[in-house]
Amino acid sequence: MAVSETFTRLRTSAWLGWQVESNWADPVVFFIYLIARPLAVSLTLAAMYAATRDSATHGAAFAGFYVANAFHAYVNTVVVGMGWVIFEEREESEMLKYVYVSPMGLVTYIGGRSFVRFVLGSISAALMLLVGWFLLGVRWDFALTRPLPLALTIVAGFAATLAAGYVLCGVAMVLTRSAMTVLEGCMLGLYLLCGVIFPVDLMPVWLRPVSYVLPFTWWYECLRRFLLGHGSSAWMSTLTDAQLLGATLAVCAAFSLVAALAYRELDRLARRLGRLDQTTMF
Amino acid sequence: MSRTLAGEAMLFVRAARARAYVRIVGSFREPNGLLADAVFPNLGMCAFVMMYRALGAPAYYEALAVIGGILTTYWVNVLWGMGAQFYWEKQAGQLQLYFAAPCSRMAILAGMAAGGLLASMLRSLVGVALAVFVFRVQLEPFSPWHLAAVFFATMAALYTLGMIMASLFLLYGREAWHTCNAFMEPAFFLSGLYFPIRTLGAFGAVAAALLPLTLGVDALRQVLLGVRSPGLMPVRWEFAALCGFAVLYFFVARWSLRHLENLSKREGRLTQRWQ
Amino acid sequence: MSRTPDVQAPAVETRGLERRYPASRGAPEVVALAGVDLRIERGEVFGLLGPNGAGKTTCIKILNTLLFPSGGEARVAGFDVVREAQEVRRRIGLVSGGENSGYGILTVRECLWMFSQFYGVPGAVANPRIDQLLKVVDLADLAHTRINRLSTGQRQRMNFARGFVSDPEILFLDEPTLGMDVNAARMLRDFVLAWVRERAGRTVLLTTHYMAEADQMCDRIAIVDRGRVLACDTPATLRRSVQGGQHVELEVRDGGTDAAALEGAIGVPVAWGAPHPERGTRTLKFRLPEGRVLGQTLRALEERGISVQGVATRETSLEDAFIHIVGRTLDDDAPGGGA
Repeated sequence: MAVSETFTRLRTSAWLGWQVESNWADPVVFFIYLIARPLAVSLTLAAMYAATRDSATHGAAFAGFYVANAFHAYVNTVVVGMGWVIFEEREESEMLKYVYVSPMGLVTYIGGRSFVRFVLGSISAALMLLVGWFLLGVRWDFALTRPLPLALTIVAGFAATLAAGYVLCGVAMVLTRSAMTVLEGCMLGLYLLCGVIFPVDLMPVWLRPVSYVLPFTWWYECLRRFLLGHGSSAWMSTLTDAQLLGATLAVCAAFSLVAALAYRELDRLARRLGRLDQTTMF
Repeated sequence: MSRTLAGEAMLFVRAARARAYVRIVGSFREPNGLLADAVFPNLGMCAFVMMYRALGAPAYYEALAVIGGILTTYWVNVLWGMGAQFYWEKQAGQLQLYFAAPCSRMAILAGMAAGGLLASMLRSLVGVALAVFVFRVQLEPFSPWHLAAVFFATMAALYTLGMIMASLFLLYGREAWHTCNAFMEPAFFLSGLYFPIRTLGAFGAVAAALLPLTLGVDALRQVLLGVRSPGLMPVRWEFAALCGFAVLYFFVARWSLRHLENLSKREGRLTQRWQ
Repeated sequence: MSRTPDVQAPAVETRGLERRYPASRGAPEVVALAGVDLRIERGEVFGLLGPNGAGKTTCIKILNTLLFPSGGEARVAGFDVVREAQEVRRRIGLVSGGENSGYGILTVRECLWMFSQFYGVPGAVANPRIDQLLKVVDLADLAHTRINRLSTGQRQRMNFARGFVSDPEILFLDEPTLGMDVNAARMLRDFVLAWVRERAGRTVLLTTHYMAEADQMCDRIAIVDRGRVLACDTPATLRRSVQGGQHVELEVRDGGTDAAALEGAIGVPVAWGAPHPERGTRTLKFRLPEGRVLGQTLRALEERGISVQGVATRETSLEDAFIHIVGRTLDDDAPGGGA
């Protein structure tokens, strides 16, 4: 009974998510989010690589950056998108308080809404990989791909993505107007800290610990190694496949646990501060 | 109540000053927002600089990415602080008060632009600090007058373009939001903010003709990096084109604002929220 | 250059004013105003009364130059709202109740100052005026508080003050006391009346849901429904327009008598009101026709075995007049009505 009820609620919120997204998502808007923006980033990376080709001959390294950048679409779409749900439900439709007090509860509701975001993120990532393969010459040898570790990596990464999304929901609940900029900032912060387009070894020494506790740093490195056959971080390259995969799974699990606790605390803080129905005047 | 030219000018100045005041005061009163606006655009820039390092590119590439990154602060402000502003005003129920007031709508936009520019100049100092102290960007000797002329011509063109966007978005509901998003990464790419625009070849020249951001970043790189940054056109031409854009955009903004205001009044969309 | 204002022109004049919202996204066309004729003289406090969707707010929007009419003509202070919008804007103020104005980041005082600047009010005039208005709306102590820290009621009072910072010739108050507490609403009503009295020629056009507010404040009231003016007169005349005498409410023992039997007994239509289960009674409402004596009616009821436990009478109210003219109460939505 409880399982079927939860499933029904998840399905309802996923349906609502689709209604909300597809309401504004006429073809032009779909184009903007799923094609234009990711494509522009891909093309920027390709142009940067093309501009430096005379002096740099790191084609394989570039492929690693490009692939991680494609998977970063999940962070942009799911993690930040989940935070946006809170912001929009509170500020625009002013529905947050009603969802919060409903039997469905916010956790289930956000989970359902994230489903649509996962679909959109997948489209975006797939598109970037296809553009890279067919237009930009970002190719790799599938003989080097290791499907099982790759599949495990993807599952772990998705779990971490969902967990990070819940943390941002909590942050968005606690913050009011500045939630908007903080969400955007988190997107860019993760882009930098997780070494999406460069080896994380290049980060200043004092910032590296931050990078290493973030699951996406490990996720991207695993994706590179198990999809392309090589990673980009010199330090992580010293780890065996099993060590790298184990570390990634452990970091993702620990992060998810911490995220659950953080969400609970942020939820309480938001209630203490009276933020659940607090709309700001822009 | 008499309507003299001096009276109109005074009303324009008062309204623009009041609107600029909101921008400037707003920037300082929200430390979170200030931090976010000053720091976040630079995070993307840092990532691109790191990528150049990872690819073993000469330091000059890092410098041009840093200059592009600093201009990003202004472009983001033009998009979100100018372009989408009337959308926010409409959502907050404020737009109707502007349109029922006797001051010119261009005064409101001019105030938004002036306030946004001033606030963004302060924010861009973070980018400059990163350039100088973290990335140790090496500049060629340059004339501060040339830099000031190119910078202000770029700003004039960008913010008058923002005025056009604001007027276009008058009719928009949530679409304004999405349109602004559409002008983020695609504009970064088309303007060559993080790579030499020449890399795009003829395509780059077309982009330059469409976006003042392209010309602005190219001109600034030429002034600051000298011969290391061969531009699309001589700086003088780019400066003239930016000035031309600013004048053209101003008049287009005025016309489109009037036209779209009338259209939205006919369709009843000026005060309609949640479209 | 502008043309000289005609000081003799009425504050507001509309002729055959129409506004249609075209059909869109599956919604049918809405006729919000279907030929409204109004003439509001200078110095009047004029009320627009109508149920939801009657077209009141649409009318206010057109008069405030925010919306074009689809047909007809509207003039404010003698200026056409379409062709001479700029001249109209110099002379008007707008307060929409239940709406926010200003930026959360500004203080109350800064927000009022900002709006005064949009109307070109010099600082030397604006500042003392703002001080005075802050006292009137009881926000003087919060003058330096940010708007986003105000309560809803405080924001509404600030919004009310904003409408007066330019000291407009003609003020449009669209549900100005919506959601305000009783004391604040009374204070603001008194202020508006004093403002009109003390300044010759100042005019107020008020829309409200509160009958008592309209009755107390307005020199004349137009009752609108489905985009048409159904009646326009002083509140007293509108009340008198309802034929019949006193409204009677009887508390009778609840003995299961049906309304038809009662109507037969007293000869007028009746309606059941609230039951009082703790006393075993119900309220019976009817209007006593002129010339009839209440005592006769009570005797007729007693003869039928209906025990009357209490009697209350009242004169015809504006609400009675409204129901009589419109055919339903103020809170009933107009089917297919506009905004």
